[in-house]
Amino acid sequence: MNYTREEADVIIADSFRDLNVRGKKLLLASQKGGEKSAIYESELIKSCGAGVYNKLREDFRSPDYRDRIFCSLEKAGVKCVTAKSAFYPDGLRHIDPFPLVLYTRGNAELLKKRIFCVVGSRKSSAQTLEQCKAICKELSAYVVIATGVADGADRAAALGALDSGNVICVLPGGHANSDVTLKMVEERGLSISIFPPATPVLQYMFALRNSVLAGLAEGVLVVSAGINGGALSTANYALDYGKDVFAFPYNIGVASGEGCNNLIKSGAYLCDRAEDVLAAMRIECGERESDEELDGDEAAVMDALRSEGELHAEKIAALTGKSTSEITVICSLLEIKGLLVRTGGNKFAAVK
Amino acid sequence: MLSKIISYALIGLDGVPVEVETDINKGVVSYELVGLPDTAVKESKERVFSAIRNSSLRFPVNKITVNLAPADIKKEGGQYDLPIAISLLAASEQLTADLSGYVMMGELALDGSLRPVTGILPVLISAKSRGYTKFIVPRANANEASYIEGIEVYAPENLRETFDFLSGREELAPVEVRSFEAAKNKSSYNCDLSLVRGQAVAKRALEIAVAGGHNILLSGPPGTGKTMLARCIPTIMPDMTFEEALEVTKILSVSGELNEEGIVSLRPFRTPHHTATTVSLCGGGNTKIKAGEISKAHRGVLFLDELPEYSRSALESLRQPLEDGKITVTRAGGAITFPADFILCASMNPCPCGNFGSPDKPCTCTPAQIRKYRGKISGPLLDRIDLQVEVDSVKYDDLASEGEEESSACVKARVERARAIQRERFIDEEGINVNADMGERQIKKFCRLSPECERILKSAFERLNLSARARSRIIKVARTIADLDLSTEIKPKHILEAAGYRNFDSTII
Repeated sequence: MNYTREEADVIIADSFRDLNVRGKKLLLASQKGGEKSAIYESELIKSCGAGVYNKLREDFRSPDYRDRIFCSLEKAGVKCVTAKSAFYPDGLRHIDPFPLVLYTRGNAELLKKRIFCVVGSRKSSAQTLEQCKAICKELSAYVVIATGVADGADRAAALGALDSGNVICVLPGGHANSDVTLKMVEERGLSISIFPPATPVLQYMFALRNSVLAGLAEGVLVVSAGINGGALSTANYALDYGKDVFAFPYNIGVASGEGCNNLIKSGAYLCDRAEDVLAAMRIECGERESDEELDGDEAAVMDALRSEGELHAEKIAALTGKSTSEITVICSLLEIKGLLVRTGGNKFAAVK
Repeated sequence: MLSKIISYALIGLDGVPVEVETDINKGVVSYELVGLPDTAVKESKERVFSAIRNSSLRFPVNKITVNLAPADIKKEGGQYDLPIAISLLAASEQLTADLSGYVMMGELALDGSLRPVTGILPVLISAKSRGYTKFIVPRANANEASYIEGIEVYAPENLRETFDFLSGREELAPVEVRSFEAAKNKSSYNCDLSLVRGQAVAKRALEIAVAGGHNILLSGPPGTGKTMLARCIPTIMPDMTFEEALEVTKILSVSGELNEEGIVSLRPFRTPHHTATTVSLCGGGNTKIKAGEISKAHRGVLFLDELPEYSRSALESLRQPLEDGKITVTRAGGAITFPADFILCASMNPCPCGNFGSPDKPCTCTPAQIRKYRGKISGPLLDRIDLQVEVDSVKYDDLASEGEEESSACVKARVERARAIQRERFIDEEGINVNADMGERQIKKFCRLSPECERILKSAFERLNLSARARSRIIKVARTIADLDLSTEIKPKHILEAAGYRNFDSTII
């Protein structure tokens, strides 16, 4: 991987864990040469001490140290997109201070496309997960879906967008061994971290990750969030940066949806289909493909589910006048078609 | 003088003849018992002495040597009391009759009465195959001995009666042969599917499981009737044949768990607690290798309640018996094979807090916790459980509803029909009786899928995040569903229903 001299400097500066972003910028400025460098130098010494500064300067200039850093990046299969690069998303510059380097695996071209963020809680209902998958699948035909790497809604969003390859996962810590979903994302889409590879995850990094998600995207859809969900923090960052926030609506009293309802209450867009998002992003979407033809029995089951909400298999049997084993057959078929989902305890719910 | 009596020792489930030789000679008064006896056998001297004296007979005062041959088999238990006593009486010339045709077993009480011993049935079967036809067993073991045809079994009350019978002073009628059918009609299960309200999905899954011999996993919140459903499994299994009943009775007879009736006519239902050790499940022991729970569940149901709570090693030890239908327990003293052909029914909660999928209580578990909990059951074990169904909590109004529930007998009739179809199908296949036994080769041969079925199976895999392992499992279950449906080919609806019983295969997001 070839970086320009300038980019290489940034990457080396970013490798110093002792420094915060401001310190890294000071270090870069002080090593640039020129008349002002002495001022930056003295300021940096003030903030981190002369001993640390001398060590940093030595490392910064040492070819050995540089080799080591670039080797470790190559070994981890990570490519860097620095703030000087053409690929660096402008949206991230809203963040103060914005990350100097994005460590990426996968297709970095995605950073130049229009990006939309979908996040949600780890504890989402099976129905929400399925709906999240479906909406991400539709959206990913037009925009790149950015999401986290947590269980639950984040993973559902990534899986939904996976087929199109328009998917970005933002990691809280540095790149390490990826799990199965993340590996697929890295093969077809992109994973990003703002920390060098193998940086362990600490609590504060989740907030930074959320700010990156909000910065990257033109808007954020929260598919599920408890009253204090982490997904809400992404939404709050998005509001700070002036982005649109969307949320799935929920019934009263559903714990995994209270955060979403609060967002809507305070002015977020209600979203229950991909068109809601696409319209706000001024994307013309094609005519929706007409749904697959359902035969009489399937239609009867779907009608029952749509009118009654979540139903037990035996209840569906009672409503449609079929035997339970027939209902198992029909529901399996509808599940394969992606029209309904099991919500646990032999209950089913319609996805669309 | 010298006398010889045949008795039997048990190794595993097989009897081995043991010759009890007694020699009385002039010399210093002594009593020696040789031939690798354990403590219980050594102590027989005191029992035999008192029993003989208390039966108004004479205990010889001379140099006595009793030998149990062959000398390399360890002799255990009290069953040699009777043959030792009789051979003493013969050697002391109080009893002068031809005893060579008899096989004797029995423990003596001090007053001379005979106490029951374990393992009578396997001994009778082994001895009969060696050509022995006359047996003397304790009265309390008479029932157990009464189901074998073609032999004469005498069941005296005490030593005196035995002595009088053998010396010809008194007549003793042989034990009447009883029919298995009569015993079968006497006993019945004390639960029935009609007593379980609702749970149509789970009941249907049980029917499929029994019809195809599939193992089944019931998952559901606490208090949803998983145990109740499991207890109903034996009631819908086909009745045991006499051969099956003998197999089961043999194991229980050796373990000393046989009932009054003397034969097991109901399919066993074993529920080892989750603290059970590997040895207690599979069998083992230091001196005498004993059958474990899985063998006692032979031809019946092994019910493991709260599956993830069992120790990992105990669960993993089930894998090989589940595959082979038998277990070979190997110890320094030898290897013994016990049959272990059972339907495994396991139950568990859907998640650590137990409320996943419950209508009124919220589940507090994270996906990672649920994955970890389910991960306690290893993939290879889950591989051998073809059906995974959810049992849901029943609401009160369902419990109180009036609707007539189907009885076990109706379901059993359908199961028997499906089993008949399978018997015909596997007539040329060695060791395969039911669909669940099929390997990859048989699946290819007997479960041809139409292109449409293949297409549905493929889309089911993509859509439902199924693991590759699930494939042959779904096909086998689909085959059973087709059998229940009396359909010769597997239709799309059979595949679809089978795919509905696989909720543990899909990955948790």
